[in-house]
Amino acid sequence: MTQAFRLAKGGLIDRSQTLEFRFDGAAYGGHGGDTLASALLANGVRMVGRSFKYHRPRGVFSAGSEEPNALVELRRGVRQEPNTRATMAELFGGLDARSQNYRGTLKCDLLAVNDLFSPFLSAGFYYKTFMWPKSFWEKLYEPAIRAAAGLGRLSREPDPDAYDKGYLHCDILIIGAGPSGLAAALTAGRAGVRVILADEDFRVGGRLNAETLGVNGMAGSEWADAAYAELAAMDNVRVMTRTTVFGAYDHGIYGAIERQTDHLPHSSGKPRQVLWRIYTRRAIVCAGATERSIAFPDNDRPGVMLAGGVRAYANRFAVGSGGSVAIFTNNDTGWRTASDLSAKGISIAAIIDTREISPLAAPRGAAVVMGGRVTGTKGRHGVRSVTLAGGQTIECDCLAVSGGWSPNVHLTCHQRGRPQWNENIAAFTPGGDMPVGMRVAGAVNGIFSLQNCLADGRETAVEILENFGLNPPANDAQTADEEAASISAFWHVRDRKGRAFVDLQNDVTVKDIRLSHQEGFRSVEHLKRYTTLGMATDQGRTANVLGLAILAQASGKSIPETGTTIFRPPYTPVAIGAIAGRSRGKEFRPVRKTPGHRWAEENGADFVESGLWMRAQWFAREGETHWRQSCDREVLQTRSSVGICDVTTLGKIDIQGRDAVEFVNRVYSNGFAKLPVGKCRYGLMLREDGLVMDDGTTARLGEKHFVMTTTTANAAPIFKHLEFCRQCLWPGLDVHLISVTEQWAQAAVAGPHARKLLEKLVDPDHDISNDAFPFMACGKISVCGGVPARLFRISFSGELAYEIAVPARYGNSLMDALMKAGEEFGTTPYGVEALNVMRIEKGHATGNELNGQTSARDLGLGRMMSDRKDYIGRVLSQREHLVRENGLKLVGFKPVDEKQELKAGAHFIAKGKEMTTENDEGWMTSVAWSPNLQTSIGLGFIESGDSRMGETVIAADPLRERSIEVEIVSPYFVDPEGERLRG
Amino acid sequence: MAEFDLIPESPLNGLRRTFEHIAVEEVSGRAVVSVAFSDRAGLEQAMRTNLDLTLPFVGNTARVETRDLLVLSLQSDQIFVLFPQTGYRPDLEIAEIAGDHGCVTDQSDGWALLRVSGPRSRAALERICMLDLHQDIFTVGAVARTVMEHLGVIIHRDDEHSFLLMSARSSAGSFAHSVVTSAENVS
Repeated sequence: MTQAFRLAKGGLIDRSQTLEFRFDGAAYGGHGGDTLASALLANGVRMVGRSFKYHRPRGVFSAGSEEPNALVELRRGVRQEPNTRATMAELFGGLDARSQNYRGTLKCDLLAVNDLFSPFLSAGFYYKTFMWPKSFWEKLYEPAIRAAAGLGRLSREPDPDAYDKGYLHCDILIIGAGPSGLAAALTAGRAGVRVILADEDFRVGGRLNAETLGVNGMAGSEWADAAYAELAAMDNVRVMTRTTVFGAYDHGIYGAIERQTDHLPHSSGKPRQVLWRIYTRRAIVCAGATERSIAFPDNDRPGVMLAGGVRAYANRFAVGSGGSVAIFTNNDTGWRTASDLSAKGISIAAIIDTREISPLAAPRGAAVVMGGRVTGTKGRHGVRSVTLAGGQTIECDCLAVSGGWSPNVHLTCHQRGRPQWNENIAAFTPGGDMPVGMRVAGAVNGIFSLQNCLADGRETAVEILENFGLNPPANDAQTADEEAASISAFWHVRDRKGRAFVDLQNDVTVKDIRLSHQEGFRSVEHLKRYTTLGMATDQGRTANVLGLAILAQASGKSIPETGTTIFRPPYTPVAIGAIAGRSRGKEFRPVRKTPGHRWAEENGADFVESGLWMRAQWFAREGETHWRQSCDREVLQTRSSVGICDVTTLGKIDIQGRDAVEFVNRVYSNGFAKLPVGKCRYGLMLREDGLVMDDGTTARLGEKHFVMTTTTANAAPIFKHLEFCRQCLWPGLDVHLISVTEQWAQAAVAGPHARKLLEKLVDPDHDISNDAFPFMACGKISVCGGVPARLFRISFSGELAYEIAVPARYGNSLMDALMKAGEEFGTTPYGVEALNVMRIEKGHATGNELNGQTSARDLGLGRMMSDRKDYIGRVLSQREHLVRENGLKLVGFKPVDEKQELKAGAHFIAKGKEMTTENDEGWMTSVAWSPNLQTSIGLGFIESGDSRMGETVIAADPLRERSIEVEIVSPYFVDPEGERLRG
Repeated sequence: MAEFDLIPESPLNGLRRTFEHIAVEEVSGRAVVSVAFSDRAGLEQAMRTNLDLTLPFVGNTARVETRDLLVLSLQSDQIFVLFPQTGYRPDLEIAEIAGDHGCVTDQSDGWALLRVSGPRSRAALERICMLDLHQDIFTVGAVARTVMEHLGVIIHRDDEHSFLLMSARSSAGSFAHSVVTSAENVS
């Protein structure tokens, strides 16, 4: 096609730039500055989709983001995006769009049969119809309805585009770059405050681009261009086009989505959209107003459009929406459409005004019908004629309808502000409590004349500046052409047959609204949910007030008495990808790696996520095909010779100060007051409620210096807890905390040859013999010729063991050096699986046992609750339930049949008893295959476990449908006397 | 000569990336020592005497140009001191200066240091930093603790178009990725 409906001159398009695009496979041409909608209309494409429920032909209805009809699938393949508003899609060369919601072809849709059955498909029909049989709803009815309904299709592939987020700050956020927004921005910008001016359009100016009204003696669009140029040159002003402010949140924070590359053929690796969080001192909402329709039979045909949209297509895009246009209006702006179109040579077939007295002069040749009503339209795929109440038929291919203008109050409602009815403009304006710091200006404030909008924008900015204590710039008021904007409310043409649509996107008709009222859904909130009025991508921007007015009429109440719905974020659809931002795939969250990570990788480690940490689970060797083979080997080798394990992830907290010892003594339940310098002690930390919070070893490196270790998972919570104790509970203590988890790379060296191995690295002036450095000793040493290190003789495995720490920069090298030094002993690295096996063999508790529900007594550590001092958790640990005789006790378990495998999570039931909650005696917390004992072993809590050694019970596992008989045994499976670790 | 040598590695292996008007580079060779104190006056006196330095208040920094030393005041009772690392025990150097007035902890290995510089550096940081980095608000010399991409970060503006970022060593890879991605996204 050759853009047959493109006007010969005018418009704000770049005619030197011709852009080829495709719609439903056919090739078309447009120009720079077009939207997809304007380009389609320029090419005479009137039918662009099918309606949601009845599959009726639909065309472009508006020229903005309120568009309910012209939803298309944009792009192909993985980048296919459904429900894109053609009115918002900026044209680019190679754009590929398809109509949606039909089966067959757009013009021959098999599902158009729905329209024939429309008498049966009224609001809520499926609630009433698909009642029986009950099971059919999920299996048949719902899938069938879903397949038939809906709009566009997703690609069903992961979104390949990148998205980003960001944070902006300003003194004044101005939302909307129309006349009032630009006026406000100029005043604020000239005063030197930091301004962000955001507009969803790709061109600033708002209605100035769509009208012929002048400002300061020049065309409105030229003035907007000049204002933009001035603002863009200011360092303190940021103009953000293609940016929709979609939500007003607490404390002056706004959410905005910037479409950075949607107007380009390719993103070129850059983020397609950026989700901004904007921190503001003040915000001025200059979001304008949206035109609404009038309900009359068959008012949804392609070619029936909003009058303001028709005017915008002519003035901004140089597109005639039809060759012969009729206008149906209840206000003066409809007449402006007539005069603008006529001035561009478009024939005006008639002006049908619901009012009795003609307000303005009609263009030459246009029939004028005052007090008129349109009672129907004709034309299969587009309007061919309209019929008036008197039976008169008017031939036309476009009917421009204006039912008045509704201020875009959405953002003012986001914190429960409730709009109030303004009879003068027959619309809602912002009311109630608006978000803190928010002001409104211009059309959103119910001010519709251009001169007043400009003045309101400026005055609002002036007021804010004065509130800031600044002097507003003088003499920067704008002057504009006068315009008429009176209205007499008229909602729908009554008593006529045929469906009169209120909400085009959801196929909600006048009849549906009346039916809703008739069936008792009389609250406007219920109306919305029963009929779906105001839902989906347009959020009822052209429909809500109209629907409300019809409900009010049905209920015999006024509109203020009927009430209104309010709006929530987002104002406009926001892609899920934009909300996710970069947090996808492996970027979903940060990864923490130990300094020895690369060494572990090079040594065949298989990693597991442990919180944010990556930890080696095991180190597979050649020929090992199952993790258990690796794990068993690592355990056996460690117990027979020596193994090394990266334990950097354990929390390490440096505690210093004159009162450091007192502090440590108060946070642990066992005593630390007499711990000598150069010694470690196992510590148990309780919560205030007396249950166990965490455990770990704390070393005293100096009189006023301790290093506390925590479990990996609790490193941050314990630090937070200690800071709370320090700052809030005992501010008088002289104690300081800092995390040194990141500072030190730490490795466990365990096994009979551990000392021999370490002696090869430790500098000769440090004696680590058993006498000089016995079990639970600690000290500052140096290794490998002077590198500072810390050595702790502690053992989680139950073997002769040490933990050695060096500054993290040497961590990778340390692991390498340990392996090389240990070659003669056949040193093995071991991962957390072997670590776990060895601690279970030794009966040591970890997170499975310290699960926040267990007490020190449950863990068999009751003796660690000192009765000679006060400590956190002391009082509540004495609660009756926690000190009962038959309480839970941590014990060991072995299967009676040693070939059986234990499962963690199994619950203990006495033999012969029913598997019920009442008979539950405890649960298995940890299990492992012990390569030393050649059987499965476990730890678990069971009532009075410590006095039931040798008893057998059932480990019931109904979820996995297996229950086995187990024997209660000591939790110390290996070296119960602890001889090895002291060796 | 020890039988085994330990070879030091920087958290980001000397990362350096340049983009249009933005450079992202690892800063290495700096000692980072924490000084926590209860007696501000005492520490202030010690710093003045030994370094000719006035202890800054929270959110501010102070420099001793002759020693290439920078003090970041991070909280009411804690500062970080950054200076060239020449030995194994930078904490002892600062302990000598602070005397009994501060609890000194070596943090040199706990942090990855990145410098983001260039005229577009603020634009890049806008993508991950929720602080207002406008030059009139976050002035040259300012320092703050914040969060970027879920990671704790210390940010210091050391020039009009230059920011020093410090984040934990273990997650340095993720952090550097987020900074580099930001630079890429705005270039």
